[in-house]
Amino acid sequence: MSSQGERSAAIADQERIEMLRTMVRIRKFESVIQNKFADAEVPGFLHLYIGQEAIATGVCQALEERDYLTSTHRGHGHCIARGLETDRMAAELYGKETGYCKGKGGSMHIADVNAGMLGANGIVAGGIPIATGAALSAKMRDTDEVAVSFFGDGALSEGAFHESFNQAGIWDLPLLGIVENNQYGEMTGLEEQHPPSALDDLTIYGEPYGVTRMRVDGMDVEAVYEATLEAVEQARNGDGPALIECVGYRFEGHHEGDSQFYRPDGELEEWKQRDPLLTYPRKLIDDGVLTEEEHQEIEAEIEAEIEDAIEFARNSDYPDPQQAYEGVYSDGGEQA
Amino acid sequence: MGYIVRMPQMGMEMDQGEVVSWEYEEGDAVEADDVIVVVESEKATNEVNAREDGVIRRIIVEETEKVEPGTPIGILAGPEEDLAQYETQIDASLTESADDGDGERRSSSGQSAAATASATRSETTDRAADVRASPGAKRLAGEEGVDLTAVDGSGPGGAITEDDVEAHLENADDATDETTTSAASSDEPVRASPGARQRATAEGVSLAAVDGTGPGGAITERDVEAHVESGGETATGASRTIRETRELSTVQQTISDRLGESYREAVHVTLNRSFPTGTLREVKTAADRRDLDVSLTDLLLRAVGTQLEAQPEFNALFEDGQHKLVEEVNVGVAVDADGGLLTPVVPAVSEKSVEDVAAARRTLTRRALDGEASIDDLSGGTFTVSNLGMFGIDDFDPIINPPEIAILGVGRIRDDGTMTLSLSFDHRVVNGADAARFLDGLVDVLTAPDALCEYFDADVSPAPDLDDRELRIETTGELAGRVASAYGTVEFDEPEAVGGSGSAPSPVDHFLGALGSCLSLTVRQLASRDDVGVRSVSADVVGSPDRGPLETVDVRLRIETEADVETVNALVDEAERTCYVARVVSDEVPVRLDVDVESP
Amino acid sequence: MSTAAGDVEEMAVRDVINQTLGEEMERDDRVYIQGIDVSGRGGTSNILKGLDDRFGTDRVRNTPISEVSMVGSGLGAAATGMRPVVEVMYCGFLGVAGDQLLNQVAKMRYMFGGELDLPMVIRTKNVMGANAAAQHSQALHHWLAAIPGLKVVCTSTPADTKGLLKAAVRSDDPVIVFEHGGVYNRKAEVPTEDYVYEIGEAAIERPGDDVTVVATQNQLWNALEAADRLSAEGISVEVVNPRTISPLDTETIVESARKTGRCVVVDDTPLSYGTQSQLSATISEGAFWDLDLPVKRLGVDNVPIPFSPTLEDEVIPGTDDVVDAILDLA
Repeated sequence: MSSQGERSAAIADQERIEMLRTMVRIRKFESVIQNKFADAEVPGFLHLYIGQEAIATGVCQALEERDYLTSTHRGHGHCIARGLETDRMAAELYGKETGYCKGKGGSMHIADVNAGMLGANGIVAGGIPIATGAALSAKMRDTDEVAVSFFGDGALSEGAFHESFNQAGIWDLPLLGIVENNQYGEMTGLEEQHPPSALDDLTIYGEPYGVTRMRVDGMDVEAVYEATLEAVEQARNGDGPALIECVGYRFEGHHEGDSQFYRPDGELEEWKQRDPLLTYPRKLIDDGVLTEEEHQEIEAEIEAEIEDAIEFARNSDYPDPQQAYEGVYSDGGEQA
Repeated sequence: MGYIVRMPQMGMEMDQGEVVSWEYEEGDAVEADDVIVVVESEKATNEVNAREDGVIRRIIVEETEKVEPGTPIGILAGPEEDLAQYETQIDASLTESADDGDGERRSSSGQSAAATASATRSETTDRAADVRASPGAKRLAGEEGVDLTAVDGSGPGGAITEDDVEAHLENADDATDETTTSAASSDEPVRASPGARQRATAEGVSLAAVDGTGPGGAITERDVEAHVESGGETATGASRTIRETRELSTVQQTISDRLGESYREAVHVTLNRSFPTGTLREVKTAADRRDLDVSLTDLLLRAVGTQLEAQPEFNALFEDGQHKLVEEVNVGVAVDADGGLLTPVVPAVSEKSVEDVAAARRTLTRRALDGEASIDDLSGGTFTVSNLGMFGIDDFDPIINPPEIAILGVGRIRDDGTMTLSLSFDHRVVNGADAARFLDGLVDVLTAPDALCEYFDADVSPAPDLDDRELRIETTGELAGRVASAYGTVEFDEPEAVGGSGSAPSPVDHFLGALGSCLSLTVRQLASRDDVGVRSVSADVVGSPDRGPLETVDVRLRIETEADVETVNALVDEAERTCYVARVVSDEVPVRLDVDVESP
Repeated sequence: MSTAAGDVEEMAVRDVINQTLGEEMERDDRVYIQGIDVSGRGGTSNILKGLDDRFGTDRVRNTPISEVSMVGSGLGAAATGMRPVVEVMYCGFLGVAGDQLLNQVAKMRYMFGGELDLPMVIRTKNVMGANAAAQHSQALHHWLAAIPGLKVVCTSTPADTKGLLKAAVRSDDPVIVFEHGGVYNRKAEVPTEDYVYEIGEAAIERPGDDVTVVATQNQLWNALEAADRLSAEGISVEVVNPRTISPLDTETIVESARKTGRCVVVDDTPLSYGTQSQLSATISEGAFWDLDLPVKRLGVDNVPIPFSPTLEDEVIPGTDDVVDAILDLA
């Protein structure tokens, strides 16, 4: 990653290409998993990030390796943007022992604490207090680490959000909340989840806690990146928490199998015009950063990577049933 | 390029998907994202889009067929593409699911472990099916070298208990040792703690010879110890000498057989429901006042008749494995007769007035008590009521009278006015919720004054829906009728001389009565207000003439008091002015008021 | 267990907690305390008084009244290099932090593959007999013990408070330490040197032959008093202190039950589905063939704890009840 000096100027070409690659990786990974799930190869249930790639990508591009993040039930994009390997992710989704959680977590709980990824989370707003604790820890250990919590618009209705940001506000913690406004909380639209006074700017929920508030286009990876950079820098300087609303759209259902009865006709098509996987390569080509051929190469290369990841997952072993009893405590097994 | 189209997995709770419609036929070309097939799971209908351009080369699962998620339903491939590779994959996946036997797809996943577990379970079941014996029985049998297959089980479902093994051992002893005491071979099961049993076995002590000091006389390990220490001398078993053996009468024998059969066969469950009997007793009191010979049992019987009509599944028999609903509602009443328990049957309860029910029941009961009950009296029942309230019983679990499927037990009216109804029903035929509804409906009737009053031919209604000073007049004949008020009913009739039947006061009599009553009361009230001591007030009222329109009314008030005449006259004057009834009397009919003042 | 042979000091439980946390904070500067009024007032029972002066308000950290973030941020800090000791004022308030306890704290290590250390302590207290009414008078250790992934200990005596609290702070797993308001002022001898009790190890507080009483916290003191009284009547009572509720030291408990053949279990949780039921089942499974009589359970009757002293006394077992239960079996 580049230094802050370069960032404050225009975004470096290399960084722009890196962001494109991340978005392509998220999209391809999930599209393949979507089919494998439909074919009943992948067990459980599945929440896809397709459509929101620019948000995870832009945010994580602005972070350093030492920073922490917590994620949500819709967490594949965050994991990939954070740099987790698609093969071990696929293996986790397949329930294999080579997965990030040895097959104990699955889609909703992928974590790699060594990479500062404190876990996807099956409970709406469940990760926010944890990120708050990581921010507190960063401060108490006298580091300049920052903790980022991704959550959806729905999490703003949970008490955990308010308790955490209140505490972070009092303690000036380096906590950054990313509100991914994808227009729906599960299968209910935004206007049934929040009062009219909040709809135009969901960061209003952070106002009493004294957070820095920003609102960006969640389909524009560079806008997300730049806003995050600013918030991260502020947090590192000890100026306290921030809340960034990224306005985007969920292209798929709440989970796979969702018939999406609630979507008005034409809404999806309209948002798809702004699909970052269409608009961003075009922009980079227009700006002369990328050629059409290079774009095709990136697509092909990542396609092959994902294919390998799926093969890795398929060929990995299921965990020995006895492993169900391991890892409950530091001393190993379950209780007598 | 190309891929196998599979039944999509559409969420966690999906077991099967149905192919609702193929949008293309074999050979049709499709483009990526076209809807190629519509499928439906238990939860939702979904469209399946083509993942790439191609041709629908094969339709494997036809419309309306159902398959598990992941099952191949078709092949989408290039127009000329060789399908061999797809077919091999499909064969493999079909073989795999055939191997699994139960159609599981993920053969190497936890589901195979589940299959193993279920196999293990069934083995266990098989082993257990050989001999059903308790752990204690198995241990003792092992220690004593007893073959459990030779032991008779007395436990649930014929399971062999530790007692059975002991009995088996002792019987074996009996066979070889004639001196064994009768106490030791008693059939009474021995209640002993696990520790005591273990100790007794170790010491070679027969538990039947040990005195128990634990709860309910249970033998504890210490008791065994004490027994061993005392050399077994302390045991003094209680003895039983048969004083008299009574043969069962034929009737009693029949009852015994039938109830025994019922208890063994029918799955008895008893639900209890308590309710306040205030309304029931009020109506009974109202009936008593009218000299109607109706008991609480009769009211209950009649109400049961209504509920049996509402829930015909209870008015039924269970015979030959069939639940037979019966048209007639014939309710048996358990009677404690000399020869044993008899249940004469009151026929067609739901069609009778409660007076008729009472009459029928009295006749039947008398015949049963006198030993004169006929077969007809005792047969045809569809339901039974057993009332032990008169014996002071709160509630009990009655045994169903077969082939009926339910019986209602009636308890006493407790001091707090509540009574418990206990409905035993055959759970093979009806369920607990049905029975709960039965009791609920019955209690509804028994606590509703209107419903109870309607069971009477006679009018017993206190017309509680009327307000004060609101009266409902019904004419019951040309010149007779009744006046219902919130507080009771009075009848009126004209004298025979004018064409009535003279069974009750005439309306004019009622009016004159009201006038006299009101004046009397008013005098009392005023006396009380002014602290004038008045012992009694009574009045004679005479209207004249005795036929036709009233021309004069004479009221003679008799007042027993110590007050002086002047005070009394003042009271009476005021009473005449203020009496509410007097005030509505028009001046056209003069009311003359005389006063007799009596000194006590 | 590493025990101390040597100097002892008579101390009250409340002072032991203060001293022990102070020692652990001296020993390891990653250990810090957070909760409501932990600085200033010294926590809800004033037990922590003075620690803020010694270690500063950064390490004795007042939180807003936010149980969710108090517990959740403790978890996040534990996952990223700190060793938090969170105080939840009354155990009844654990419910406010329900999701964090149930779905985050308890499951994070396991769901993430078993490698993640979560060295956090949640201190809270059971309260009985303080006329504090139902929300502030509860014992809930059975509640959390039913969640795999948490370790649950109950402190009862000055000595076990020190040994268990040190063990909890040094554990790499989340440990819920249930203190008891009724024993804070109990005094007894405590070894002065540094020692740690094994989590999962019970103790025989008083050996005996006739009847075993397994008892926790305030009921442990009642049981010891009952044993004293009954020894005068020639009944020898063995008193077992489980110390840890999850994991439970089944071996020690079952061994005692097998020896005496008669057991009373007594605890301040409700009688139905309370700790007593787990203890009773454990004994029945492990000692069935040596039992002379069914295990007797004593606990709080199945009502919320009432406020008025006469009502509260009615539903909480006291020493007399323990004596009666023992006599029923002896």
